[in-house]
Amino acid sequence: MKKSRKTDGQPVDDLQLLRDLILGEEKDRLHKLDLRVSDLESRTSDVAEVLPAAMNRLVGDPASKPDFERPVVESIRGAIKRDTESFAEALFPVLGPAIRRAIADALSGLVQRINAALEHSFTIKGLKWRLEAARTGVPFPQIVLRHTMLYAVQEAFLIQRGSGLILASVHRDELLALDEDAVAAMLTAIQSFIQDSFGMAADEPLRSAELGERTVWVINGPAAALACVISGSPPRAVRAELMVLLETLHARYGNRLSEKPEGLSGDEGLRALMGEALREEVDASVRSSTSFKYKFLWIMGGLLLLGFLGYASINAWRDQQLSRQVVDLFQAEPGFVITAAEMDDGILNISGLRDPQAVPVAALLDSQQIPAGKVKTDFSPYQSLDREVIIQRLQRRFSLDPITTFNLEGDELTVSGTLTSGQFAGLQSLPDSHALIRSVNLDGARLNAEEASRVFREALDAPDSVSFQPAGAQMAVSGLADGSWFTAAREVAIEVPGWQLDFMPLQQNLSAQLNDLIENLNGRVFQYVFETRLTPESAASLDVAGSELVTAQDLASALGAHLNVTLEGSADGTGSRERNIEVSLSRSRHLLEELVARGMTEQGVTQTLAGWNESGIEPERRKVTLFIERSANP
Amino acid sequence: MISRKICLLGAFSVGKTSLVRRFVHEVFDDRYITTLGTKIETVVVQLDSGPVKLVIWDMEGAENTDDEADLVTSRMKAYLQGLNGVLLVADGTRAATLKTARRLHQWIMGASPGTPAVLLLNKADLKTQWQLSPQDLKELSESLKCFSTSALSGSNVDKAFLHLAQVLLESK
Repeated sequence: MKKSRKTDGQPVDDLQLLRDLILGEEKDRLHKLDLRVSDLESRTSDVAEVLPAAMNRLVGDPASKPDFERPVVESIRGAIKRDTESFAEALFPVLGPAIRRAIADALSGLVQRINAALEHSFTIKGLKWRLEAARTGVPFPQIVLRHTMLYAVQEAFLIQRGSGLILASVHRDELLALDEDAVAAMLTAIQSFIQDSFGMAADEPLRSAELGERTVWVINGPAAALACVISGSPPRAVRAELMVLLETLHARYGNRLSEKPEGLSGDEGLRALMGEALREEVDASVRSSTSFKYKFLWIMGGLLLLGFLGYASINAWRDQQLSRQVVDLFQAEPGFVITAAEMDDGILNISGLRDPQAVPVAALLDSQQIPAGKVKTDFSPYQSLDREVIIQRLQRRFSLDPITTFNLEGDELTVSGTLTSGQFAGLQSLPDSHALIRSVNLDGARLNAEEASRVFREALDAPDSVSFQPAGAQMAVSGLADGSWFTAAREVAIEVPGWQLDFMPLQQNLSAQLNDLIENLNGRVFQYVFETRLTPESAASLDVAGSELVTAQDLASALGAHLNVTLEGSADGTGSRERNIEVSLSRSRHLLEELVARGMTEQGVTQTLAGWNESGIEPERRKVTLFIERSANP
Repeated sequence: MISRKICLLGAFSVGKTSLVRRFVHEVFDDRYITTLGTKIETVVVQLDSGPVKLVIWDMEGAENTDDEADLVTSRMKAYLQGLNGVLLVADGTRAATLKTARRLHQWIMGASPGTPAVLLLNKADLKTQWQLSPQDLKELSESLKCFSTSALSGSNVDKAFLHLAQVLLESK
């Protein structure tokens, strides 16, 4: 029920009055507040006053940070999409320094790794680690890192409790990363298995596991567990730090950790936070010894460099020497023209021209004991005008004996030695066909003995009893021949290159033959029966005697000798002295006639009387005795 | 990449491990080694809609019992937490294993309703020895997607796993 009364002629609402009395002050304040809230300018001023403090508080509060970040990030993302150009302009001044810093950081990490690897490359420990790397298949830098670090969190997995599905993972080395899903699931399974097998409660989860040289720490949270694969021995404080990290993850992501994992996939903020789990601590003692090791390293490196340079220099010098030696060798050898020579990986490549008559390459290299494998040649054939090669080519062309020599002086070719008639003919006509040779001097050459003998025999029409034998520069004529042939042959002029006939052996033979005939004929007796009648035996011997006398006279004539032939007639003493003289003379004349009839020359024949025995008859003195002797001159 | 946890459930010696080995490694080994606890394999399968990483939990065999506590042990329950799909496996030559598979399915549906499930009637290479009647098969196919598989020959193995992967992807 509402009551009212009038005041100053106006009805007064008691209730309103009461309100004013009780709440008037608050009402005024409320009115003022209403005006302040309604006034945009005033409200803006108020917010501006508290905004910096509120933002600082939000940034410092992990629980509120996602709620604060999300609209900011979304706003920035939307703004970038709408006006990319403006953002590009705004970011441009910071992009360069940011990129430089990122590159510097990356290079710094790389240099540290290289330094660590190099530092341990030349020590006994380093060699051990190399062996370990070879044995285990783990890269050497990784082994170095493993041994020089007190501990390092190699991998970290954020695993959803219950499902065991992976929410996020980070790795120190992507190449060595495990199958994160399999690891996460298996850790969960092991945890469940242990809890079940040992009757442990769910709030007594698996805390750590040893896997070879690595330890797995499991930090459990209400929605997710942080599993860290650690090498080395981390201090306990690290576990507390990891716990703080897991709490931060829970505070920031809350229920999202219990949702399907793909909701967090690609969340760079989550990955960045997870990256903080990859902690490490390097052995300070290892670092402290670096200065000495660096010195050792530098010395070793310097020595190696010097050794390498020395080795390279020696090799280069050897290559140069070999190149010079081989090029000089080929250039000095007739029939080679070198157009290029260069070393390539220790092999000397030579190219140029080679006359087919030149010395084989392999033989040439072998003559200087140069390994054939060190030289590779590529020669094109050509005709050399080198004197030696021309001579070799001629020797090959004419198939000359090795003892036959050529000498080329200017355009005249001088030949010495033995040639066949064909070679003679070919060489004599050589100037007609050869570009360089204008004349051929064959004075020093002679026909070979066989052909020369044949030429002499044919030219002299020599009987078979005559032979031609080479004796030095002369062709000795020997054997037997009749005097007339001997006389005629000596008169014949024959020119056979390089040969002179020597008749002396034949002359000596003929002289000996003449002497034999003289000895055989001298004192030969021809018996008579009576008067000028020869006994049958003597008559029968006339032909032989006549022939021998003819031969003797012929030989004597050829040899320039003189024969004295005396026919001495004898009688048996019967009758008078005159009778005996007459008979003796008639008998010697008879024999002379008989011999002349058989070809003997009468010139130089003398008839004499042998006398007789006057005291008695001697029939055996009915004879003619032939005396013959040789005198040097008539 | 999307990951999904799937579990293979079934009685002892129905061929769960052999099916996983056939699907993941494409091999078959007729030696029987009982699984203690669980074995975990991961494999990435390419579906039309993209790649999916399957984290396959090959569970130890379940007891053939009516007692739920013995059918699904506490350890098994722990393993099954957060599963996205289940492959129930039965041995066609042993009718009892089908019963176990159905009970396991019922338990799963009770604990996590709507979980995609596929039934694999394994040992199809011994189909002449199967103890399942056509009526059984018809009833099964009405309630569950069924595949007649053989870890020995590989028949339908890929098809069953890929079907479940596809269902999991569609139900995300």
